[in-house]
Amino acid sequence: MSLNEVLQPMSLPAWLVALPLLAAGLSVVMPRCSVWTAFFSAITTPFLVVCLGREIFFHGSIEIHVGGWQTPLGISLYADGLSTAMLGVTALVFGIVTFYARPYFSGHAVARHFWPLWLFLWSALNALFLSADIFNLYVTLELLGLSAVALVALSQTGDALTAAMRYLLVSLTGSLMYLMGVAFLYAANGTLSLKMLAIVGPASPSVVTAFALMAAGLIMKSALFPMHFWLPPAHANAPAPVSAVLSALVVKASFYILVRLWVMLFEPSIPAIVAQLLGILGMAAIIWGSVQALLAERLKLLVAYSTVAQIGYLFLVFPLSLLPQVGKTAWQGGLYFLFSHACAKSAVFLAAGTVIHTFGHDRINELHGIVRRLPVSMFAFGLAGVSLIGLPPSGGFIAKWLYLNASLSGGQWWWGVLIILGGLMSTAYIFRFFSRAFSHSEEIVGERPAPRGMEWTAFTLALCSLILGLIPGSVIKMLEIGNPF
Amino acid sequence: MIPAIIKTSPILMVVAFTLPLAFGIGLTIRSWQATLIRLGPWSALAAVAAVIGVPTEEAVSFSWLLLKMQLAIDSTGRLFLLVTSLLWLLSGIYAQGYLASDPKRGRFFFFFLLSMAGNFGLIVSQDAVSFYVFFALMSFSSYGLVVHNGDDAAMKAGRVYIYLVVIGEVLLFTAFVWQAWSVDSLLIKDFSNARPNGIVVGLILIGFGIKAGALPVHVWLPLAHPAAPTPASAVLSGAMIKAGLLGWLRFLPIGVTALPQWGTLCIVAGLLAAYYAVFVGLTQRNPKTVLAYSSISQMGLMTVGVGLALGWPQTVPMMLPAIAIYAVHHGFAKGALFLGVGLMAAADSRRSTYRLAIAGLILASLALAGAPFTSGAIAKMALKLPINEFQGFWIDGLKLLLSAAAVGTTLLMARFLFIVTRPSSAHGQTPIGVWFSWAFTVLLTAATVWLLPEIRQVALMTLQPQALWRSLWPVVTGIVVSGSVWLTLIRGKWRPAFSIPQGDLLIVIDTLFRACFGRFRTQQQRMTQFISHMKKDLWTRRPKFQGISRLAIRIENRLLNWQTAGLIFILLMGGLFVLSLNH
Amino acid sequence: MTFDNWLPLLILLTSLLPGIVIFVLPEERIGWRTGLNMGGATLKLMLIGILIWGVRHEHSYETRIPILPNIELVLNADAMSVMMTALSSVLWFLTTLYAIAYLETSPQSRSRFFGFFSLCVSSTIGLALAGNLLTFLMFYEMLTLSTYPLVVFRGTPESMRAGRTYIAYTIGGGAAFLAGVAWLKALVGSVAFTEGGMLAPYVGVYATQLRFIFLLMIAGLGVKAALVPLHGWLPKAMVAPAPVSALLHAVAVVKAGAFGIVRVVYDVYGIELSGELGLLQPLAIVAAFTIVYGSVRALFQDELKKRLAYSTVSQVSYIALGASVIGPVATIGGIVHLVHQGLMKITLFFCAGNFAETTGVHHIREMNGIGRRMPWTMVAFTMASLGMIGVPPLAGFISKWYLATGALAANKPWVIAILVASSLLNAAYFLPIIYRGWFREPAESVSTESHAGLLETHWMLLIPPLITALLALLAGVLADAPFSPLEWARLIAEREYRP
Repeated sequence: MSLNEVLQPMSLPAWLVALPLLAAGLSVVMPRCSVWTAFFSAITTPFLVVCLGREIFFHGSIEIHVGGWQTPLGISLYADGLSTAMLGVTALVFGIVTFYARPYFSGHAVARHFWPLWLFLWSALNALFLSADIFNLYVTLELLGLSAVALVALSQTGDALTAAMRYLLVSLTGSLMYLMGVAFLYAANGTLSLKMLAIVGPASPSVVTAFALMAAGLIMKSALFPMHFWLPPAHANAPAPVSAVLSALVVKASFYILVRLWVMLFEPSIPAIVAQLLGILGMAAIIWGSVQALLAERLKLLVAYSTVAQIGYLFLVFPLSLLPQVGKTAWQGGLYFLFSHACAKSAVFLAAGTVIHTFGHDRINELHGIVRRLPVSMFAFGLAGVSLIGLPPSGGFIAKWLYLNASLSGGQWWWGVLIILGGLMSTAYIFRFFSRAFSHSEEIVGERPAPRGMEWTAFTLALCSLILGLIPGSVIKMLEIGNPF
Repeated sequence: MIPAIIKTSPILMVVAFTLPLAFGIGLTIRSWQATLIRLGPWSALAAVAAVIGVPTEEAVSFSWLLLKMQLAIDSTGRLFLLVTSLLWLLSGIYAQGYLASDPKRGRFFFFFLLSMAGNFGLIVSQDAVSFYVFFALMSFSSYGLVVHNGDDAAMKAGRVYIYLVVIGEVLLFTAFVWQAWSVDSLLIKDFSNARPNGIVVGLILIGFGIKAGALPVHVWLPLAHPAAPTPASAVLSGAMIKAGLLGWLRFLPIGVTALPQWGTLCIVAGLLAAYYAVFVGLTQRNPKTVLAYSSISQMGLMTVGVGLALGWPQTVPMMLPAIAIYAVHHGFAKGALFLGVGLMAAADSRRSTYRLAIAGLILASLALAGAPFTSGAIAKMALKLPINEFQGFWIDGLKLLLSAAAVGTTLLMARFLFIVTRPSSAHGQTPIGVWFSWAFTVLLTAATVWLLPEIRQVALMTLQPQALWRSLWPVVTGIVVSGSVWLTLIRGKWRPAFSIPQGDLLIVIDTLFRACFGRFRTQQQRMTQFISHMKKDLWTRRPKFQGISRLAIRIENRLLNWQTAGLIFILLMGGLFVLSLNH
Repeated sequence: MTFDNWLPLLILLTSLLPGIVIFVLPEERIGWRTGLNMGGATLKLMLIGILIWGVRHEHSYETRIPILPNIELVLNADAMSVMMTALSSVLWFLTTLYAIAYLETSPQSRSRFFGFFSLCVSSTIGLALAGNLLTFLMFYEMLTLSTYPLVVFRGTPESMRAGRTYIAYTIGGGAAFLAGVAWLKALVGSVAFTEGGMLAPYVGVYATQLRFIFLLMIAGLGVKAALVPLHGWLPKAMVAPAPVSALLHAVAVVKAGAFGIVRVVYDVYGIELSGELGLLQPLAIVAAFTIVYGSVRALFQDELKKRLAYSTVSQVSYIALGASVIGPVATIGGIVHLVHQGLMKITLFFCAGNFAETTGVHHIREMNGIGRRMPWTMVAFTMASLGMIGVPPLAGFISKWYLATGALAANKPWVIAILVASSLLNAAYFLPIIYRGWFREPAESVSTESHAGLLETHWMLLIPPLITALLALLAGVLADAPFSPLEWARLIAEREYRP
């Protein structure tokens, strides 16, 4: 078929799912050229996303029915501003991390397992963001979980395997809960499509049950405090590229589903107190995650706990979005947080991976003066850190700024106080590592030359998180399309 | 603007201070030093030319310089500039010879020329800021002259000097700002036309009094003037000291508002100075110190004049020129005396030149004492004339006191001559320039005041018999007394047992100051120790987070295990369910 | 977009782009690095020349980049920002020259240094040109981040500690400032700088909130401006290399804080309004206390750079003081001191660096007779410190004159007492240094042989302090000449108080 047909708007979403999938299959049957297929999709998929973005930017959101069958029978894919943005950030992170993964895994036996899973994960993510009904969401969620677990297990150390097991159980339970929720909803409304499931009036017990199940499952999968128990071991023990996408995208996927459900189904009928509860959990997550990050002795653990904290920020969106007049601002803030954190956190994980790759360990207290060995990686770490702290000019700052505006104009100033406090705490743990990196030390033990590729990919991602701080206008305009909120 | 300036001769005023300034700065370049030292002093000729050339009250103003600099020469300024410029010129030439073999003479002339520029500049400047600028330039650069010798005495003198300079600067700063704000102008004439409040008057009196060696704040003077090299002492005592006087005349509301209290204060302080300085000076052993004290007492007399003018405006028309004349006379006389001291130190007492020098010194001393036919007589006369406008008991008293002061001066001069004419066999080859400049100074002492048109008739008045008598008796008394004392001394080999240390009051101040400051020092050290202790203490006592962090870690481990997690999960789900239900 | 819309951005980029390029430049490409630095600096100076001329003639240059639906990144050249921009770019030029020579033999990475150095200056320029609080905030934080690597440049434990203190203070301050800005935004919706202030309409409704916001902002800015008790980082931060301290104390960090205070008082609240809200009196008192406290502490430091650091603490508060006294004259005094203090202080730090580099003298007790060893440096030092004392006709005198007059005009005579006290203290801690340098016999420790033949040290180390000292002198002598700092400050004040 010709390129035009591929680029034909109606088939773009399908291709977005299919392309990584095909690549994955290809790399299974011929492992020798798996790297190249990966690179191919790493270049083409973002291109497709851009095309899709252009399409819906000019013609609004699109919905297609695979195989022509209408819902509820057939599978339908739906792309509006939100999902396109998610696809975009996914493509960005995956596209760049792929180039990091090659030198990282070069010469490892696990490489041949890595690439198929990697591409499979990608296609699962794309599918998830494009799904228009809650059952497809379940399926993609399941696939996502499984491939993620497999990827965690790749690094084959004892810790990694136990972490992977735990992760497996968590994700199975989570998606099971979600599935039960789906069942309740289907029983109540007889449809699975998000659009048709618009719930009217006060919530019936079945809807409430569905919400409780789904929310609990998704909260667990997105590791909101106190359900974060599985995340630090998994993310800290996975191979660097994997940890990067796990922190950047996979946890966000379940958050994305929760947001979709909340906005399109539950918000009208679920009392505000629930949102407050989520916000409070988020608050606790910010503090607890930061404290643990301050206490962590290993770099990757520090980063993982910082993820726990940052997920807390995401959940602040629920109470904030209910405030009068500033709901939209709050949503923009929350999603902006998601995007910038995706870039920044993946960059940080890659940098940490480079550190381990170079020095063979990531014990913070023994990492003195490494800035002279890995200037670019440390610079990347710094830039990403800026975004995590939320200092201008960075995506993190924009997100916090929007949050602050929402909370202060909405009159619930305590969220704002917390946000600033969280910023200070993150400064503390970032610089806890950073000041050691800058300190001057004579002998640096056990060093292995770091491939330039690994250094610069991390840097690029960090730069993206910074650039997000300069172009928020366009991103937010993108989010408006097919107004999901 | 530029061609306009060139057309009018006032450009000379600018040259008067820019030329020495330029030479001074040029001296920093080592290769130019020899030339510039030779040329430097002659740059004072520009000022002399300005005295002659610049028409009175013709102002130049530079809108772009400082805060709108304005220059002019008024009648008072002309007299001051006259004595100042000539004295600087001659001392400069003197210094060329005097310091011919001094390795540090480059540095000396640097400071010399800068002070010179400042001194000329402040006389011609008509706005407060430029006056202040030049005053500061003069004061700070003459520090270099005071400490030139580099011995302990010089250093101590310099220290005291700089303390007082800085204090004077800030006092004047405050006064000027205050006045500038209240009259909303920077021109000196607006300054003195407005009635200032007491604070400003007080600040101005003290601020300039420091420079003028007025009584309570004169302490630096007897240290600094002797410590400096002879030519420097000459200009310090002859010229720069007058800057303080000029400051008074310029910035006090003289002739505008009558301030009797302040006037009386000045008179009292002046008389006290006149006598006190004589008393202290008589006990000194160093000729230059004696001269320094005589300067203080002479300035005391001028302070009396200022006081009268300040308190009783009707005296002003006669008093202003009188003070100026006195300044001129004293400037030259004191210059001649100081330069003479250097001469005597170098001269061989068996030479004829030696006798010549003594003759000159005696002449200058007589002039200072106000003997008939000398400039002193005229100056004193001019100073006393305005008083005749008043009647009353205390006026006579004042007149008497003034005349009696002349007795004191005579005694002091006698003491000076007695010390300075020690038979010495030092045969240093004194350069001709030194002789020339000294001789010329003596000549000026004798001649200048006679030639000044301003007080021709006063000069003539001094020739009347009773005037002659009035100026004669104090001198005679003084000579008789000192002569008799001298004889007794010679007889019974008795020497004055005690001598008040230089800078009399300073000792008191010094001890007090040291006491307070010493205590303060110890206090401060104790304080710093205390602070450092506190810091260390706090550091050791700082909240130890170990306990908390251990707790946090334990909790986290608990959270991470399955049972807890499962339990929490159930609770969470239940919570969500319940919360969603209730409404 | 016309050229006028581009100019502010271009001025920003002339230091930003070289900085970014320098980062990726390999260590040994000294020629390239120098070329980029100096080229950028020169270009910037030219552009600023245009800017000055335009702004003088009421021409407006503005770059607007929308970031968020209702917030724009605004770079706007008004009289005040032009003054700050010109100062920082002139001093950047000289400091770069100085730094090139200073770091010739440094073990650490020089491209890192110069990269962050340019970033630091870019953020200074940025916050000088900022047209609203958000833009200001962005560059303010950028400044914090880009200076940290410079402070810890040496990597010694001491400098690491200094860096930690620095970050703790500045990030905390930044947070407070952010809170203030966000609150203000939420309250009144606009955070633009407008000459004469923009909050007047809201004071009726929000008086109390506005007071709190002011407090937050000043607390945030006061950290960088080193107002007591937020000054703790400054004396520690002097472990940084001399050029860094020079820029830090003269224009970059400390000045950013002071400039911010001026902005908030004049262009956000408006001086009258701040007065009405009763916010200025406390600020004035804090500033006055800082002035005296800093000088007293400086008196007891024996390490030259420490003494200078404390003197900065004291001197910078003149600006805050000027801003906290109502009336155009005081305004002129405060604003003009922004420039004057910069010129004098950078000279002092250059000289301190020269002493340390050339003769290894770090403490004042070792400075006997150093004037003979390094006459020109000592000349510059002497001029600058006399200026600090306020001796006419140097720049410091002009600032003090206007501050004092302004204080009287605002009927605050006690300010004069503060100024006098500070002058005396300045004399007490600067004159001894001059005295040792010129009039004391050199100790054996100081090697009296001249090392660079004709010159006492590397010419690139010598020229910058001489130029800045000369500028400090000219700023005083030609105070009333067109385009002098004073004259420019008058322009600003006139526009601020324009009805």
